[in-house]
Amino acid sequence: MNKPLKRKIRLFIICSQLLAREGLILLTQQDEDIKVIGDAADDEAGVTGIDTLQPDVVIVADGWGGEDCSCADTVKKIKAYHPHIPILVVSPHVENARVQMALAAGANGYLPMGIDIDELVRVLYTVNRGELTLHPSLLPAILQQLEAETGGKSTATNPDDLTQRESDILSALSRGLTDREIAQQLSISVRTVQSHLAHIYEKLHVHSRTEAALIAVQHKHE
Amino acid sequence: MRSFAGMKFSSPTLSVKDLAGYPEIVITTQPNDQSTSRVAVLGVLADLHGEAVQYDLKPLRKLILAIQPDLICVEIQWVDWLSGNLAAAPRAIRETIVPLCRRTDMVIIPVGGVASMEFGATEADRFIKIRLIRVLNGLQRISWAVVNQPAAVNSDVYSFCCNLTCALELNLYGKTAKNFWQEVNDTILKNILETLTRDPGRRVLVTIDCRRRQWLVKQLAQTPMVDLVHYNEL
Repeated sequence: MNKPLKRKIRLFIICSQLLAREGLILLTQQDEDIKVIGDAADDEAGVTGIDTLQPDVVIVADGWGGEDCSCADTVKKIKAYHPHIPILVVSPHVENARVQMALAAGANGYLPMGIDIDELVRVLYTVNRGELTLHPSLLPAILQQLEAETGGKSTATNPDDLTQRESDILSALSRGLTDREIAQQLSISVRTVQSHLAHIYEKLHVHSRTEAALIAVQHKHE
Repeated sequence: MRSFAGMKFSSPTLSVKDLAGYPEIVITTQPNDQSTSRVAVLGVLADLHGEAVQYDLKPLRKLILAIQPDLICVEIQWVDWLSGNLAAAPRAIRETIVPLCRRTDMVIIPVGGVASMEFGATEADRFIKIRLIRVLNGLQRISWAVVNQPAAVNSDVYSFCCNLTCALELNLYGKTAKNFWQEVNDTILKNILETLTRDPGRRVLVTIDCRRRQWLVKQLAQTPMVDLVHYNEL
């Protein structure tokens, strides 16, 4: 059965800095399947543009306005009118508080500015599917915070019950690697990684990779 | 913040822009039973003694996008792959397969290879041999300018010509070159079989220098864990 054909991802970019905005437009359009249909320098123009153009994904480039400038408000405003349009935040600030605020406001992804164009494009595809995406570099800090908030308590099974391959995958997962990165590292297919992950969730009695990663982090500290 | 608990981090699905021209391709999304893997061998044009062969890579890109294997074995040395140094890899790999895999769920498995046949002729009849080798290289260069579509490169006729030229060249280079070429072939086969053992039941596309294709197909056809199919049927 052939997989369904997809049309181009129609992208809208909000960024207050002209040079950064133009850079994002040029870089993202290098991918044949991405088309930037509009851009704006501020929230108001952004929301109007999104109303009119109905993009598939919005990039909110945050943080050039200084430390106080946050993208959470922009994300909230867009989500208030267009809850189904995925929003990806790209920011030089990677503090937990900022990331959490953006995600709490409804952002579907958060990336630091240090990423390369391949990574950005890959995340745009993921976000376009409505999935939540965090850059791997942000995950360990967030997991540690989660651990602190839960007091390190867990009712889950010990990761020692896992096979060697499952342990390898859990370890990679706790370092924030994506399924694809784990697959590439272990020279196995993405579907095999996903199948191992399903077994890991079952054995650890968890429902998400974050919970599984949390157990891995807790176990590492024991 | 338990709101993080529902996060997914799965990698993106493939965006296939245009499958027109490949209506015959049937993608089986389910793997075989776990003991055998579906494997297809796709011959690609290699660089000629370090000289990049200029040809249109779009058909190859389209084809690989249409096939979407789980694993794609390529002729890259592990050390080069890990260090990100793809300078020694042929254009087809460097400019098409690697960029495609970076954007999709296809996983690259480096299986070694990329051995130049430039070993030097023996002193005794270097002049004649060098002339002959140049003629053969020239013929290959001319043929690659015309025959550069995946279907043509993988046709029986072209494979036969490729094998013949390759065998002639190896004979001219001598026994050492022949042995080395065979060693590389054996390493590639060993790495492919290791991959199939490590992750059975997957759809595996082996992209290989067209000069090795016929030999590799013959070897894989004899392997019980391999369900060898045409790349259009992977």
